[in-house]
Amino acid sequence: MSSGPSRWIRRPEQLDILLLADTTTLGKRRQLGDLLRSRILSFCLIVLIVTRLAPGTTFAQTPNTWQTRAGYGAPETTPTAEQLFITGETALRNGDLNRAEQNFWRVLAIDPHSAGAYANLGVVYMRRKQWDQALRMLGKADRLAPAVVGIRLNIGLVYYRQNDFRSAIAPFESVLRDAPNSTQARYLLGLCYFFNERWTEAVEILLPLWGEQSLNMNYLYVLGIAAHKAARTEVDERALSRLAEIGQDTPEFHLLMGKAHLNNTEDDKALAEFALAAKGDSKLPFLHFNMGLAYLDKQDYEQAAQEFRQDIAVEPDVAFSYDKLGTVDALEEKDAEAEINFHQALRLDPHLVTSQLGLAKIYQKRGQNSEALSALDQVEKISPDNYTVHYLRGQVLQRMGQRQRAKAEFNTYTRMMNAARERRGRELSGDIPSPELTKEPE
Amino acid sequence: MCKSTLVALGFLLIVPVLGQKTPPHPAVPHFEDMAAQAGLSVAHISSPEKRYIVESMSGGVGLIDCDNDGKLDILTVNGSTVDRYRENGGDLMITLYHQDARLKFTDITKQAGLTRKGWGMGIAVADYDNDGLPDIYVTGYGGNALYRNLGNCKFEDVTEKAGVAGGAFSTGAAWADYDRDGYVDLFVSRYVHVDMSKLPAPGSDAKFCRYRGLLVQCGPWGMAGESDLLFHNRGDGTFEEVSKKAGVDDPDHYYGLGAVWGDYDNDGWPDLYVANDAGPNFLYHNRRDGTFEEEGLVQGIAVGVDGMQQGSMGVDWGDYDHDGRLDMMVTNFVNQSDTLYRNLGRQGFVDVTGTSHIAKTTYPYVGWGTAFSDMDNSGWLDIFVANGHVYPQVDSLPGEAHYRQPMLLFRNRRDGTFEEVSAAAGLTAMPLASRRGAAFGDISNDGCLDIVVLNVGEPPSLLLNHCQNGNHRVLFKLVGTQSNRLGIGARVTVNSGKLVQFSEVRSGGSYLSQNDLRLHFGLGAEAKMSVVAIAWPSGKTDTLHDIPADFIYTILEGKGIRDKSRISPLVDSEVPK
Repeated sequence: MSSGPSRWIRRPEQLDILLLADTTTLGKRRQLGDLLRSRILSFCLIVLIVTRLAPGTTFAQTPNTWQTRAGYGAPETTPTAEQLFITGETALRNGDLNRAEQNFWRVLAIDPHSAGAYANLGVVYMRRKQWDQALRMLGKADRLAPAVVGIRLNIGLVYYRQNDFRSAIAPFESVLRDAPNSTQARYLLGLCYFFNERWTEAVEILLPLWGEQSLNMNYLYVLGIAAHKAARTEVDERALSRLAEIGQDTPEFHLLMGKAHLNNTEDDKALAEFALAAKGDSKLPFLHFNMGLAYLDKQDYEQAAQEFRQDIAVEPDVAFSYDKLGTVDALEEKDAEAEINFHQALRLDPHLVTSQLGLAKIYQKRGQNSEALSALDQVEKISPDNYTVHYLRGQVLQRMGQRQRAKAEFNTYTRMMNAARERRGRELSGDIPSPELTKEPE
Repeated sequence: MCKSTLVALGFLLIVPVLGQKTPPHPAVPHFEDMAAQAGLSVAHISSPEKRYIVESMSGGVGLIDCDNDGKLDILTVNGSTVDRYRENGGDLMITLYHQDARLKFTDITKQAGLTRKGWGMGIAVADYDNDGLPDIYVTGYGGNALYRNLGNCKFEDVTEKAGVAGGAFSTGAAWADYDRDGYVDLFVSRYVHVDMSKLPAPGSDAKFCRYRGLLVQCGPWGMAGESDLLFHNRGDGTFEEVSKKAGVDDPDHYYGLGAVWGDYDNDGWPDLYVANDAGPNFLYHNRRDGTFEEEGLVQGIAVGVDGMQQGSMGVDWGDYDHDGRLDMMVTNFVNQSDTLYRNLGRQGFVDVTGTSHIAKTTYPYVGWGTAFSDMDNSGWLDIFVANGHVYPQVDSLPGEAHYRQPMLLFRNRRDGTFEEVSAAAGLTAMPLASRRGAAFGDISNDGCLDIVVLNVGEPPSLLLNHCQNGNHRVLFKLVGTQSNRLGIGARVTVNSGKLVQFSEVRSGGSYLSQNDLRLHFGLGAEAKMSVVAIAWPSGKTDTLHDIPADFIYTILEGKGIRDKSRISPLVDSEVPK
C-alpha cells in the first residue's frame, strides 16, 4: 500500500472532484461529500498507520508493528492486544464505531501506552463529531508518538472541522515542517491562514500548489483573494486570469467572481456576477446564499431574506442559510421567525455560535431570562473564547437583579476582551462565512 | 424649588410623546458652505500620506463668544505634521476667528495671544475662574494649553501655572463641575502612546499596519494606550490631577477620544461618557462624593449590540424621543455603523441603531463629529454626522469607501426613527472631504443652528443653515452666580404646547469640539413657552412662565431674565458673497 501523501499527489483529480462538489446538484454533492469525507478519514487512518512505522519499514512489510508489547505471549483464549487492535481497525473501516471504540479501549487496558489505540479512538470520535474527546485521544497519541505526523494532521482536522481555523494552524504547520511535500497539509494550512486573514502567509503556502491546483477554481479563488489582500498584484492577476480562463462563462465561475467582489465589499458588482451565474444555473448551490450576503451587506433585509430562502429551497440542509435568515429576521425584529430559523440552523449544526447567540438575544429581549442563560451556556460550551457571551450573560443577570453575578460576568468579559485585544482578533475586518470553501482537500 | 423636586416634576411633565399626532415635517433645512466668503481661510495642517496615526486624528473645532459681544467666534485646531513637529515643535495649536459683523470673520489668533505651538487636537471652552470670560482649553500631542481670557479676546497662557499641561497624546476635553462646588473641573481623554523618535513605519507590521492588504499607518491596534486625566479645580486658578482617586483614569489604557458630560440618570449630578477607539466606551456614574463608578457595560452603552467593541470617535447626549432621559449618539469606524443608544431609565440603555434607521447609511463611513440638534426648529432633535477615512490609501481600493466622505443629516421622524435627508439639505452636493470635528451653534444669530466642520488638510467649512420655515425658536444664554459662571451642567426644560424638551449646557463633546454654550430649542408652531425651568448645578432652580419665543435670552441664576434680543433672520445683504 502506498503512503497517503504520495497517493494524494498522484491523484490530484480527486481534489477537483471534492472542491467542485459544491457546484454540483445537491444529491450528487451529498454523495460526493460523504464519499470524500469517508476517503479523508480512511486516508488519515492510513497516514497514521503508515507514519507510525519505524524508519525504513512499511505497513505491508511489518503489519505487526501495531502489536503491543503486552500482546506477546498472552494465552490463546484471551485476545491479544494485537488481535483487539486489528478487530478495532476492521470495525473502524466498516463504520462500526461502537465496536471499534470498544476494542481500542480494550487494547489500552492491556497497553496504556498504545499510541495507535489512542489515535484510532481519536478517529472514532472525529467520526462521531465528539471533538473534545477526539482531541483528548489524539493529544495522548501525539505525546506517545510525537514523530507521527498523521496524528498532528488529525488534530488539525479536528479544529478545522469545527471551523476553528486559528487553532488548526499550529498542527498543520507542524505537519508541513516534518512533511514538506504533504499537499493536503499545505492546502489546509493555506485555507487556515486565509480564514484567519493572514493573507501574506496564505499566498506563500498556497502558491507552491499552483502546478497541481491551477485547474481548481476554488484554489484559484482563494489564492486570488489572499493575493489581493496581501497586495501581491502579480499573483492576484495570475490567479484571476487563470480563473477566467478555466471558468469561461460558467455559472461556477460567475459565482466565484461574485464572491470575490463580495469580499471586497463591492456588493453591486458581486450581485451582477451572481445574476450571470443565476442565468446559467439558478439552482447553483450557495448562489442564493451569497446573494443573500450581498443584500445583507447592503442592508436590504427583505431581498436578503428572499435569497436565503431560495438557497434553502435548493439546499435545505445547510445550517448557514438558516442562521443568516434568522439574523435577517432578528434585524427586522421578526423575532418569532428568527427563533425558528436559529433553531433549524442549530438542528443542522449544533455548534453554530451565531445562532445560539441570536437565540440568546431574542430571549433576552423577551425577558425569557432562563432561556437566554441556557442559550449562552451553550455558546460558552461551543466557543469558550467567545467573550461576548459574558457580556450578554451579564446583561441578563443585571436585568434579573443579580448584580453581583452580573458584575462578575462583566469582569470576565473585560478580562477576556482585553486578552483578545492583544491578539487583535477580527474586529476591523468583515466576516463573510464561506461554507463552500471550507471543504477539506483529500 | 429644590433640584430633587424639579427632577420629580420633570418626570411628571415629561411623558413619552412618540407616535402622537404631530404637525407635518417642515421643509428640510438647506445648508450652504460660507467658509471662504466669511473669511475662514486657514488650512488645517496635515501630511497628505498620513504615515503615522498622530497625523490622522486632528481635530476639533469650537464656538466661543470671546468678547461677549453676542456673536459667536470660531476656533479651529491647526494640526501639524511629524516633520514640522520634529523641526519646530509643531504649529500654532489653534486659530481664532473673530466675528466682526454678521458672518464676517477675521483671524485674530496672534493678537489674541494664542501662540503656543504644538499639535492641536481638541477644544473645550469654560470659564474656569468664574470671571465672566470664557477660557479655552486645547488638547494636543505633546502637551495641552489653557488660555485664560483677559477680555476683548485677549488671552494669557496659564497652562503651567494652572497645572493642566497633561502631556502625551491628549484628545478629548470636557469641562463640568462634577463636585458642584461652583468651579468647573476638566476631564481629558488620551489616545495612544506615540514616541516621536520611534515612529513605526507604515506597513511595518503585518497585523497592525495593514488595512485590507494596503500598507498603512500603524495603530491604534498594537500600540500602548494612554490613561485619562481629571483635573479638579481648586478655585484658585490651579488644578489637581485626581483621575485615579476619582476612578476615571482608565487603568486598561483604552484609546480615548470623544468625551462628554451629561446627567443620564436625572439625579442632578453630571456623569461622564468617554468614547474609546477599538475598545469599550466608558459611562462614569457620578457617585456624588468626588468619585465615579464605571457602568458602561452594566448600562449597556459600552459596546455594540453583540458585545463587540467599536472604534468610537464622537459623542453626544440628547433626548431625541422626548421621554425625559438623555440618549447617546456615538460615531464609529467604517463598517460598524454609528450607534444610537436609547435610555430606558432603570433598565439601562438599548442599542436602537438598526430600528432607528441610521445603521445602513452610516455603515460605510468613518464617523467623527456629531450632535443631536434641531435643524428645522421642529422641536425634535435631528442628527448630524461628519465623516472621513483615516487612510488616504483606501482610495486605491475598489469598492471601499473613499478617504473623502460626505456629511450626513438625519431628520427625526418623531416615531423613534430617522430619515436621511443629506441630499435635500445640500450636504451631498458639497465637495467631499475627510472631516473630523463639528461644532453646532447659531453662528448667524438667526435662530437656525449652523455647523463648523474641520476638514483635514483644508480650511474649515461653515455650514450656514437656511432653515426659515416659520417655526419658532429660542436661545438661552445662562449666567451662573452660585453655579459656575457659564452655567455648564445647567439643565433647561421647556414646555411649549404639548412638547416638553430639555437640554444641558455642555463644554466639550462631538469629536474633540465645543458647541455654542447657549441652548437652542426649536418650538415648531408655538410662539411662546408656557414654562421654562432652569436647574442650576448649585441646586437652585429658576422657573419662568409664558415666555415669548424668537428671542435670545440671557438668564442670571436666581434673578431670571437679565437681557433679551430678538432673533432676526439674515437678509441677503448680510450673507457674504
